[in-house]
Amino acid sequence: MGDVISLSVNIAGINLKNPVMVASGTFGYGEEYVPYVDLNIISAIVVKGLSITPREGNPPPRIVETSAGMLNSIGLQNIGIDSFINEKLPFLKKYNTKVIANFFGDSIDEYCEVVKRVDSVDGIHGLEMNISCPNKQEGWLEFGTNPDLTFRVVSAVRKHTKLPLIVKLSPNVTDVTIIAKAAADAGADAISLINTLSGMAIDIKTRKPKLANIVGGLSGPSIKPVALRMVWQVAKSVKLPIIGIGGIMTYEDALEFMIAGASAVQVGTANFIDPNVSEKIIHGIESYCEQNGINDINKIVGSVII
Amino acid sequence: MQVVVLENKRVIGSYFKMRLSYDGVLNALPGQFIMMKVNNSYDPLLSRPMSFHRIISPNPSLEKGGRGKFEILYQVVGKGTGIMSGLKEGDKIDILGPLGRGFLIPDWMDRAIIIAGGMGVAPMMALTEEISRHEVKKSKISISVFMGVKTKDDILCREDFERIGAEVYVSTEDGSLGKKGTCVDLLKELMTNTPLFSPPSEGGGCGGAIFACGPQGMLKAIAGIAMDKKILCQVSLDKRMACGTGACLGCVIKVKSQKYACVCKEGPVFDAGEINWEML
Ligand SMILES: Cc1cc2nc3c(=O)[nH]c(=O)nc-3n(C[C@H](O)[C@H](O)[C@H](O)COP(=O)(O)OP(=O)(O)OC[C@H]3O[C@@H](n4cnc5c(N)ncnc54)[C@H](O)[C@@H]3O)c2cc1C
Ligand SMILES: Cc1cc2nc3c(=O)[nH]c(=O)nc-3n(C[C@H](O)[C@H](O)[C@H](O)COP(=O)(O)O)c2cc1C
Ligand code: FES
Repeated sequence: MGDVISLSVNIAGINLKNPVMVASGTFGYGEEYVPYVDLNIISAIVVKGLSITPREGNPPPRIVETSAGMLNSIGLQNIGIDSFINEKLPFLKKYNTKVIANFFGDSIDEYCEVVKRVDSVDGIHGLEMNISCPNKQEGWLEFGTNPDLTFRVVSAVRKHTKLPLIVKLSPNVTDVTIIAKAAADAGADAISLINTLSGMAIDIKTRKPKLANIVGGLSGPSIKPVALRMVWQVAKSVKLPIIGIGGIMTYEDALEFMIAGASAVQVGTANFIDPNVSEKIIHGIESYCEQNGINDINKIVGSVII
Repeated sequence: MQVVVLENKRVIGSYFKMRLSYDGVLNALPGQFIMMKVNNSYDPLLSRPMSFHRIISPNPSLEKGGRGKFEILYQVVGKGTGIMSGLKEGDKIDILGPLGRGFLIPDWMDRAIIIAGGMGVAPMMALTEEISRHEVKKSKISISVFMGVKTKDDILCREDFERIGAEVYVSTEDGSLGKKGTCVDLLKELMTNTPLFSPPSEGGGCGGAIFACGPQGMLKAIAGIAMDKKILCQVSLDKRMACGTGACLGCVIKVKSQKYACVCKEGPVFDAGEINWEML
C-alpha cells in the first residue's frame, strides 16, 4: 500500500494518463464543457464526428428518452474538418488532454479526404473512424455492417495516415468479430466499440415515431450488457488494443469493460447527466486499484476469469 | 452543483413551486434555466430543464453567511416532474446551470409587454422582477402581463405580478375568466387600442418591447404580429433536451440563416426575427 498506482495506458501509440476518454458526440468539441469540467483530467477527448464538408444533420425531434437510455438521430451534424482545425483545435491545444478526431464519410473517397486533411495537423493525436455510415456509392449499405466494405474503407484510409487509427465498430451486426478482424487486417491500430444500437420509439397517442428520422441510435446504461459482451468477444478475436464504450456511468462499469478486455474506455451519454462523471470514474478506478493491491491498471485488462 | 430543497409545495392542481438554496454564486439571468437530475436512478435517466421562476439574492449577503436561493414553478406532466413533486425539505439535488441565453432588457424600454401562455409563466416572474428594478429616464418601466390559460384554475402568480406593480390581463380558452380566447387575442386587442412601437435602431427615444413564453403556436402568432409592426420581441422556446450545454445537438431549431441552432445554448430566448418560423 502507499505505492504509486499507474493509471496510464498506451493505445496504438497514444499515451494516455488514465484509461478514461469521452466519447464522440457526447462532449461536443470540448469547449462546451469548460465551465463545468477541468479538461486536463480527461485523458482524451474524442470530438464530435467530422466530415470533409459541414453537415446539417437530421430534422428535429432528434432525441427521446427511453428506459435507462436515450435514442438520438442527430444525423452527424458537424462543422466540417476545416472549421474544426481552424476554430476549435487551437482552443483544445491549450489543455493537457489528447485530441482524437472522430470522422466519417459517405464514400471511401470522403473518408480519405478527411484523413489527408488532418494527417499533418499539429494537435491531433489520433483518429477514430466511425464506420457506422452508409456508403452512398454502393447502395447505402453501412460500411461497418459488411466485412468487405470495412476492409476496403479502412485499407484506403490507412494509406493516407501515420496517425494512430482507431476503428469504431457498429453493434448492428450478426457477428462483430468478423468486422473487427476485417478492420485489423486492413491495418487498424485499435478497435473501439460500441457505437449506438439501432432503435425506435412510438408515441401511442399520435401513433407517430418519436424521432423525426423514425429510427435512431440507443445509448446509455441500457446498452451496457450488449456492449460488454461485444468487447469481450472482440478482445478474444483480435490482437489489437480495445476501447470499451456503451452505457458506462460509474467506475464499476468502466472496470467491467477493462476486465472483459478493454485497455481503455469512453464515457458517452453519462456526460449529459453529470459532466464531471469522468473524473469520478478515474478516482473510482484508482481507489479500486489501491484496495485490491493493483499497482498498474494494465494488469486488469482482459483479466476476466472464465 | 448540489442544491437543497427549502420548500416544495402544491400551488394549485398539478402546479408546484419549489424553493432551493445553493452555496456560492450562481449569477442567473431571467430566461436562463437549469438541468435538474430529479433522482439518483437511471429512470428517468436524463435531467429535466427548468426555468428560473424567481432569482433571490442572498440575504444577509454572501459575505455575512447568507445563501442564494431560487424558485422553480412546474407542472407535473410525467415521470420526472412527478418525482420532483415528492421532494421534501432538506433533500439534495444535482443541477447544472445557469444555462443558455436569457432575456435582454433594452435600455430604451419604457414599456414591457410580457406574454405567458400556460406553463410559459414560469420564467416570466424572474423577468418581471428584474424589469421592475430597472429605470428608464429616472422613471419606472410600465409592465403589462398577458396570461393565457385553458381555464381559470390554471391561472398562476397573478397576485405576485400585481404586487410588483405589473398590470395583469387574463384570457381563458373556455371564457371562465377574463377574455375568452388566448393571449394572442389580448395582444391584438392592445395593438388596436394603444399602439406599441420600438424605437428605430439609430433614432433613439423610448418604446415598448414584447417578451413571450408558451406553446409554439402562440409564439409564432405573437412573433408574426411583432415583426409586422417592427416591435422588438423575444421568445423563449421549449425543446426536449439531453445535455443542456450545446454538446449533444439534440435540441435544435431552424434559424433564419437556414442553420440549426441549439435551443439550450443559443436560446432558449431568441429574438423573434432570428427564428425560421415556417420550419418550426
Ligand atoms: C428551457 C426549458 C425550460 C423549462 N422550464 C420549465 C418550467 O419552468 N416549468 C415546467 O413545468 N416545465 C418547464 N419545462 C418543460 C419541462 O422540462 C418538461 O415538462 C419536463 O421535462 C417533463 O418531464 P417529465 O419527466 O415529467 O415528463 P415526461 O415523462 O418526459 O413526458 C411527459 C409528457 O410531457 C411531454 N414533454 C416532456 N418534455 C417536454 C418538453 N421539454 N417540452 C414539452 N413537452 C414535453 C412529453 O411528450 C409527454 O407527453 C422547460 C423546458 C425547457 C426546454
Ligand atoms: C447524442 C449522441 C451523438 C453521438 N455522435 C456520435 C458521432 O458523431 N460519432 C460517433 O462515432 N459516435 C457518436 N455517438 C456514439 C457515442 O460515441 C457512443 O459510442 C455511444 O453513445 C455509446 O456509449 P454511451 O452509452 O456511453 O453513450 C453519439 C452518441 C450520442 C448519444
Ligand atoms: S440539449 Fe444537448 S445540445 Fe441542447
